[in-house]
Amino acid sequence: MVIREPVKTDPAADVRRGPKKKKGVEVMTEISSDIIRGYNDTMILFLLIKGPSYGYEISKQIRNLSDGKYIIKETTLYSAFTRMEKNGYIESFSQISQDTGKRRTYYRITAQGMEYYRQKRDEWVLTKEVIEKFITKENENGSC
Amino acid sequence: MEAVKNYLDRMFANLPNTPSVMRAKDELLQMMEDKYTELISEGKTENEAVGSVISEFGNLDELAEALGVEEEVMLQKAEAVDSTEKRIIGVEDSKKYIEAKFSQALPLALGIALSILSFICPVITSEVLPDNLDMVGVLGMFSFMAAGVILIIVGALKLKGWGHINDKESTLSVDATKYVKDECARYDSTRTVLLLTGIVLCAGSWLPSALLSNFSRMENLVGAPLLFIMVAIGVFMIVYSSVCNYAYVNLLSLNDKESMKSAYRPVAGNDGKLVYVNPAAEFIMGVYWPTVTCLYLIVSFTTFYWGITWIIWPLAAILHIILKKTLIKRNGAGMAA
Repeated sequence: MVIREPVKTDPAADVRRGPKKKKGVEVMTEISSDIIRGYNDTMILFLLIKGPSYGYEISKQIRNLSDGKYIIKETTLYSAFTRMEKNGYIESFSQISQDTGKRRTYYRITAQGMEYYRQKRDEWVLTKEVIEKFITKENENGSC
Repeated sequence: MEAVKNYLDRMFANLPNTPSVMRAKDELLQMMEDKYTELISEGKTENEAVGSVISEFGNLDELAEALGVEEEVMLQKAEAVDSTEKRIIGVEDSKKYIEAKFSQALPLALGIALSILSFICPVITSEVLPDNLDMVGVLGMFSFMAAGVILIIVGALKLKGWGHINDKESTLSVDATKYVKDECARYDSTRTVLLLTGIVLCAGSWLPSALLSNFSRMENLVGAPLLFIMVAIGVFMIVYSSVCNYAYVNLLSLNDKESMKSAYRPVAGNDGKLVYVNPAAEFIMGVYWPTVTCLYLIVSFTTFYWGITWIIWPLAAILHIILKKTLIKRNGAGMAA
């Protein structure tokens, strides 16, 4: 299953770097961005718990952790940063990166952000538990 | 990477200029640059890397909330980007235009100075040579003038091919805007020195004549030529510095006043620089000194009352102070970020 954000008016959106499925193995499944949008913050906060990080680093980690199945858009990521900063979940600071020597905006999680993360985590566990009950496994009901 | 930058420039070009929009653009560029650099280091071609970066950029409307801009505005602005067929001028082109304008300024200013100097010929010859050789002075005058006119034409030719800037058929890229603003600010001190020296020279040009007025022959032989030399040098400085300054002014005037590009200021440059209340005021202040110079020359040459016409300069200076006080608004309150 590959999670893709819905294509809006961006004609260039066809060109994507998601993993190419082997021929005939599986039809590409797409997820509506409504689902994933509610959990972008969760993913970002999860990564920030490990330590402060910056835009591209986080985007790369999301791609790697999801095995390349979810590639977060730059605009999505930046919107999440500003929204969470406004809500007090994260703080930004400017720092010169050790490896490249470039000045970057780093983000770190706040206590409030930790609290929000736990809340979202519990919410997801519950959501998953409930939705799972309505999902048929392949081979179980046949024709799905 | 240029392609990525241009893409982002175009996306942001017509967005309102606010600190949050600027910050977003910087941050997005940073992310895109990081991604681009990594893709290239993974062995991707330039085209593949640019394609990936642009396709994974996302949508502008998603940023609306983050930027504090209404979504309608964003969409409308984004459409405006696509509908403008205007040629976009980047940093390189700006550099070339500024160079062209500077290379026009020199012959133009020299040409005008030569035309002013031409009046020395008849004055001197009438003193030195017998009356029947007055023609020599007149001939000298016309050859100086001809040389001046040729120089002015040479100057005008330097701007060939840049008509689209004067006709406002182009628009500056954001990077180019920043570049031009930086360069303009850097040139400002040079311009001020040239302008002030030029004004002082013109305003004081009558002094030698006045001081020498007791020695009538000296007045004509030394005083009058000195007057024209001082005026010529002064006018040269005023014209040269003004024409050079127009290079920046012309380029910056290509941008829509309300947009991100137009008001784009280097982040560190928010030092309370002067901003005029409206474009008309900006225009008036921009052509102020060249206009005064013209006026001074016209009045002086038609009346030949050089001993009185210098008064135009102090009067103009006073008027300039008054205009500045009324037409300027102090920038800073809105932009202090």
